[in-house]
Amino acid sequence: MGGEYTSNMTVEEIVLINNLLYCENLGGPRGTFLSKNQESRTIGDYINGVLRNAAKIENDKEYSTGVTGAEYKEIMWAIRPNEHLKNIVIKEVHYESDAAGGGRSVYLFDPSSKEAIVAFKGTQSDAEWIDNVSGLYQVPTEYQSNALSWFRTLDFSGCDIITVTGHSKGGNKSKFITIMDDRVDSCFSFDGQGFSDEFIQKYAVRIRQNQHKIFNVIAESDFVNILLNDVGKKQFYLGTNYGRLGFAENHCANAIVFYDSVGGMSVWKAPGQDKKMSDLDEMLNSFIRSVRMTTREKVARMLGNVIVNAKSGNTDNLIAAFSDERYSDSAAQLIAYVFRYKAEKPEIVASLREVLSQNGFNTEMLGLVDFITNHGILMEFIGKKPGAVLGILKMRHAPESITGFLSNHQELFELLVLVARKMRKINPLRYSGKDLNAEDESIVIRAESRLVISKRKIRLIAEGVLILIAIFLISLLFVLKT
Amino acid sequence: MIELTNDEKRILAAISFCSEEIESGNLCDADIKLLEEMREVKKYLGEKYPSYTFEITGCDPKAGTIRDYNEWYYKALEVERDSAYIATSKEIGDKYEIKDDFYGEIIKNEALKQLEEILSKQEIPIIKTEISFWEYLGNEYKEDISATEVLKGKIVAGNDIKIFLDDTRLGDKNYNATVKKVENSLKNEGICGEVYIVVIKDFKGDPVKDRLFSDSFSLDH
Repeated sequence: MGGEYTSNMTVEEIVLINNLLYCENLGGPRGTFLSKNQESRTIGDYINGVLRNAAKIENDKEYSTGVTGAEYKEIMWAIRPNEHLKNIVIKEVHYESDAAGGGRSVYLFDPSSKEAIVAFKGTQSDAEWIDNVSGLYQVPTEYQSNALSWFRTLDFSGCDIITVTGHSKGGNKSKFITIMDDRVDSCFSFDGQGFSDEFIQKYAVRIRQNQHKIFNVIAESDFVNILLNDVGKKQFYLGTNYGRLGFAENHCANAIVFYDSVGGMSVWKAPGQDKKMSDLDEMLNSFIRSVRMTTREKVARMLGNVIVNAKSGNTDNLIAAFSDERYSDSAAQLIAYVFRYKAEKPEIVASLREVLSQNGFNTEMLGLVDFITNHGILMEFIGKKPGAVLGILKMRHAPESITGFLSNHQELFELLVLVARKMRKINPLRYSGKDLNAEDESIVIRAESRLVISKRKIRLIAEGVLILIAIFLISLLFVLKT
Repeated sequence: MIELTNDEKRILAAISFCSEEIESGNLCDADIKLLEEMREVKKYLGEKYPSYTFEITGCDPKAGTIRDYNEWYYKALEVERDSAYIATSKEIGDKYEIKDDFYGEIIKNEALKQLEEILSKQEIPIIKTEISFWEYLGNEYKEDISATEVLKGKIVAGNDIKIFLDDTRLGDKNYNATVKKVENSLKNEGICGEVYIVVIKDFKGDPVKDRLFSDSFSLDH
């Protein structure tokens, strides 16, 4: 890469490695890349082994979420002419034994440049979201700590460069390790989520020291990286078209991979983040900031649960996730926030509509936004009587799409009453939605402690001290004069 | 109310959104199933390998993936190893079809001994040999599983053999000829599996950093 990133890997090679992490049972069990059995083999050996069994790989079958056999074959063929990548040796494969949610990672070695490449797979199951959202209320999270512990057991003797990478949660782990361990030279986080405000404040000194080593590779429409504050440089890449999974495929590791007519692979820089994702990013940040740390775990779990259900593309599941009694209070808080936010930033509705429709959802639920916004008091008082509300709506000639939607989802009424109540207490402009930057938002007086003093507070303290000195000097002059 | 151990609570809490219910033991249906499965896997391992004590350490659940089985991560207290072992569990009707990779630990040393005996007859300068297995095996094979039967393919385990050779003691620097020699000697003894050969610059060399050559071949019946 050159520049600040000392790695000899190209972004394309990093993306291909991150795709390999997800290869499972391609043509049989030997087609699993992250297996301890692959230790000592080169990437080339692995590729040749898989391609020897290419006939057993079913083109239309999904071998990991959203990626078919045909797509994996394309990845293998793209790696085949790359001697640099093929000569990289699989030194150690690790199955996480301490993190209850599992997890796999690999230590690769590039003999041509004596570069260690430590790569973390993002888990694919729904349980991933329990981990993903734990960053909202834990500093650091269990999975981050476990990844760092394993990284610190690795023997890097004989390595001139240490690079870490990973996709999704793996990307977050790689950023965490780069922040915490000064030995890391380069980090490529691929669609990895960021860190909470509390994390940024707690580790501000370490972040400032190491963030120049971090390069975020992000699909322009990815929805995982928008969680929390990013650290390091960001580069967005054009995404390929959606397939079977619709919008959810934006998070697949091959979502930014383009092939030429002879199977050569490339990635293309995008001018910036997809507008709807940056809108969602800002809204989510400001919403999370509006939630007290004491209740953040509940909100985080609600968000995780909603995302898991949203991934399924099933409207009823999504409604059920919102009205689930365990999360209804947090869900109401989020919905109330969105409704109030919309009043200040109306563009969020269009962005939400696009995301929902691309994911196969019934977007009529968005009609509720205006309804609740305009009828908040009505909902508070008679919302628990669905029949009455529907009757009034019909009298007022409300669109049939709204009345029909509500009739089919009467479980929503209780939630909407809660939303209406909460809306009055929300000021959506109170908290910024911009990513918190360790450079300019706060100054850590004692690194890695809980004592964080913002610049504003320091200025106030300094001004107070100056006033006291001035009063003292004036008093002293007065005493001397008399 | 279900009584859970602290480990069970920790594992379930990492794969379920219902943390409060798990803490109180008032589990939802999905978590009851996961707990039941976790206990089944632990029981299966304990019964299959009575000389060992197992601890389930985590789970990579199938929900949200294309897998039709859960992966349970576990460790054996008697074996020192950083990485976890994996058992797979597939729900078939009201039962679980559980398979594991621990048999490899049981037969590893005996299998290596047999391989080294075969290769030493040909004066092949071995630094070390390694063996691992691709298949997960179920209850049909117990702790007394035969290393010979696995090596000879009577029990299909997906043998993966790695042989590291010392270049300084290789008279013939034609590595392909050495590979052929190894292939013939293993084939003559009826060994099955995928064989991967790495030539290292000397016996102190690092198998990753000091390799001069590598190649593989398949020995199938």
